[in-house]
Amino acid sequence: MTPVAEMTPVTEVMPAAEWAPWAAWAPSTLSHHDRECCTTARAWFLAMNRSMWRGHGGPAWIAQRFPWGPSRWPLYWCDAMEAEEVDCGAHAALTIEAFQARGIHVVPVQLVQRQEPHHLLHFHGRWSADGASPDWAGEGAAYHEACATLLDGRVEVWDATVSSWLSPDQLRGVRSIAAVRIGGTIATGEVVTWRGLEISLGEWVSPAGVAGEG
Amino acid sequence: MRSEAKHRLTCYLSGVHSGPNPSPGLGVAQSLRQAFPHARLVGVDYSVESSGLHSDVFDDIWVQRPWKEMRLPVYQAAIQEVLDGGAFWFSGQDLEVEWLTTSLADRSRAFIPSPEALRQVGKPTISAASKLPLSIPDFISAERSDWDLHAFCREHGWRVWVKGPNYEAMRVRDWPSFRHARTVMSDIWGTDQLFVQRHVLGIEESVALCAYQGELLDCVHMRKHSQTHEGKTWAGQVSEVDAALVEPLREVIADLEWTGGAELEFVRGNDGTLNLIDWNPRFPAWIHAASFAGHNLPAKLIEAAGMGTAALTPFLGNQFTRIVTEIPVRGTHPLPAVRDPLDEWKVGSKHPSGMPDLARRLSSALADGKKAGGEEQKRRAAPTMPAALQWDLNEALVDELPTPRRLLLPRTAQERFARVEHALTSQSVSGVELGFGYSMKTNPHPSLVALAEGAGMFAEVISGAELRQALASGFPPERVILNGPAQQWPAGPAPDSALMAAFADSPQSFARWLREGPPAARYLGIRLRPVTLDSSRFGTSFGSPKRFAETVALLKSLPPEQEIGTHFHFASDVIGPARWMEVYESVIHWAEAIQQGVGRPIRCLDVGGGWFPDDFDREMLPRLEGLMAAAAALLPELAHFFVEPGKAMAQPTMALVTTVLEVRRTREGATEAVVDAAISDLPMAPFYPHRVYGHSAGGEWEALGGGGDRLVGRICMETDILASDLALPDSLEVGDRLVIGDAGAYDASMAYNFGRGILDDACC
Repeated sequence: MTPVAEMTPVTEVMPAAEWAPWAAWAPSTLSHHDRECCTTARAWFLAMNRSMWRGHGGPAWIAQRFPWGPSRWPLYWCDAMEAEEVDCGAHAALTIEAFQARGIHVVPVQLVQRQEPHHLLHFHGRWSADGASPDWAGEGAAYHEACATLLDGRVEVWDATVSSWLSPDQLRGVRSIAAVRIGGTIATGEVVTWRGLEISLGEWVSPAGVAGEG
Repeated sequence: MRSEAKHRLTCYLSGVHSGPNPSPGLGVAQSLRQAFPHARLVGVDYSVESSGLHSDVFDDIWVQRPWKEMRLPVYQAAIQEVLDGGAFWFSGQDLEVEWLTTSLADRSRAFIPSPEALRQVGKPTISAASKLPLSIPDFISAERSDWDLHAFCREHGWRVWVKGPNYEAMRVRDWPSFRHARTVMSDIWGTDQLFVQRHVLGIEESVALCAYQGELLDCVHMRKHSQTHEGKTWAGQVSEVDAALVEPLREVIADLEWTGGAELEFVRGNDGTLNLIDWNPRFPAWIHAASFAGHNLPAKLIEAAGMGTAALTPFLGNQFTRIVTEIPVRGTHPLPAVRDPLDEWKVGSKHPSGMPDLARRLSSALADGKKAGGEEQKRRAAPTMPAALQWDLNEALVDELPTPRRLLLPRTAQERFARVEHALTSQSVSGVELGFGYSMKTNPHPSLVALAEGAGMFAEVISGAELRQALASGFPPERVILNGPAQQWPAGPAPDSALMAAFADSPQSFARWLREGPPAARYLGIRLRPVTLDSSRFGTSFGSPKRFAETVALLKSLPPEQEIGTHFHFASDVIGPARWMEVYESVIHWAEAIQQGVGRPIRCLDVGGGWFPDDFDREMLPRLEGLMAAAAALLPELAHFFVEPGKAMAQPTMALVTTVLEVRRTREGATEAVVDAAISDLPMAPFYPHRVYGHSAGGEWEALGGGGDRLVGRICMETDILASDLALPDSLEVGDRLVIGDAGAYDASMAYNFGRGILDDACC
């Protein structure tokens, strides 16, 4: 991949219709009943996090404990901790908690990733059958969430759903990055570096238009 | 062959097996075929079962006699003739490289490094890598004493590998599997020069390179994406080598004057460190993936040797995967007849190229050379003899005792208990009182219990019977801690006053307390089962939030004036001190979570269990203040911190004295001594090394080293082996006394009658 100074706003390289459905979405957060049920669930999660993750790399235990699957939103702490599966929004929200508990500065990441068009019916069928919204899945693309550690102006993006660090050079094929926003909905103007690329926090950008493939 | 080679590029490629653990020959051939379409490629191996021989990438094949029966000088001359005829040789086997590098008079066309370069990349030190930004994971020679080896494995939490000097590694998880791996590896590869290396958790990567006369021609990085059960690459991604590694690598290659291919295998740890595992003096089996990613390393060697310019290898992608497919066997070289199975577990060969046979031949040649040079057969080092033990054995007049006899070692015992007594006065954290618990089950011998009481320890008991014995031995109830799954057994009178603490072994036990009334104790609590040790049968599991909430609810049901505590015990010698410390850290966070959930403070923490004596002294005692401070930081109202050392107190305090009944010499030259003790006197014999002592020539007691001898017991059971891998004295005779140390904990308390013609329990 060719390093470039700055990523291009997604509107300049992608048809708005392809990603606009998700552009306005805010990063997922877990809800709290303000009762003992959620307090105990969160305490359990934080103690589990201490047990299962030593603070090196990413908290891979989360996706192992909660495999990827449909979640119904709003998702409360007590329900999330009892769930057999959770979606990428829950993965990301939990991972942010996990990093923060280790004293690591972390921000939300939203992505649009390419998908096989014929997978759409599977996504819709599975989510709908569980009473969850399938709106995250489009034809050939899907909305996804992750999070990024931030240190000295540099970010690394951890995708809790696949338990690995993402790279902006993932431009081709399934799960490649069509668009990304780091830092949530508020554009602060702060610029960070992601593996050689400069990105403004809070702005949707696309690595496709600026970084050569391969 | 010779005349053909003069007319066109001819390359011999050895090591062409293509199975789950493939050799690189086939990949090298495919790369050369793309770069030099008209080259004559000859596949070389040592059995027609080497599958790559049947690939059509080869114009010809040259099947040799198996290594174990081959006349090495004849083969050496044949290879030299091929090379003299103008051909090149790409070796795909580490041991063949080792043999060729010392055998060939002229290595210029063999693409192999010099013997000195090979020495510098030898495992496990890989001294050549000292200038590279790579670290070598901790290792220890398997020729060290069993005592040291066991300590190394514990230090690394039993996340260790037994490795051979050239090939193969076996993961071991405990002492029995370690001993098994050592025996198997030693038998297969014909050498005792094994080593033990810590496991590194991380992503496996490697760098392949080619160099000619000290010039680094090219190099490429590969990250494994998936691997076989043996850990061999199945899919991966090829990329450029990090510039921070390339330049130092170039210098090292120049220093080594390296010629040929090589592969550096390393693990990128989760903490970011690069840990070098191996430097193979040949191309890796995935080398063709580098070629279709734009780095045809074999072709560059040919170019460097002045044999023309390689055709451009088209870029096909930087990721690769392997497939399984069938190809026809060459009609000229059919597979051998299927053998009737001798052993149902042995189907096919893991090493069709016969590397173990070559390893044994090279090893045997080395051993012959050493014998000719007057060097004696090596024996593994003996552990150190503790001074207090020497004194104890001298005082006990061992040679006059009836045997088998378990011997209390008074000075050794006093030294052990003095350690905790000293710690009680020297370690403190404001507001937290430290206590040590003597585990009655490790050894309830009255002398040891009295020493524990005298040292200010608490008694940790797991039954009504032990509780009453502790009280009878002088422990007041407030210096007793009760835990275990059967605290109510056998029924008996309750103590006159409150115990210091009682911990339920399960939520069910705790619920029974609530129904029937809990024991009277200053602290009540429940035993935790750490989520990373969920296979344990003890304690309450917090693997699900529901179980956690249930436990919190149970503790909330206690009367408000009742002080609460938590309890965590797991044998440190099973998981190693470092992992125990990790678990400890998680436990205090669980205690904090319980404290929050219950809404009242945790006032007492009881931790420990199963410490190996050396680990307790070296790892636990010096860290006590830090452990207490960490707990106090999360549990601000913590008042008591109890540590139960487990067998660390009793294990060294007794020894088993035995008499040799018979001395047998095996065909292989080993000695087997039958003694009057048995596994029933030393039930922990298979689970950790016990130091064995015999008389030196001067009459003093000395520890025996390691070797191929065994000490077997008096009982007609195959498992009655008291010590293996031992070097018994050549002078050993019937009637001699031997002392087996480290027999004071479960070896004493779990010893049983067997083969004595008596039965302990009444039978109705």
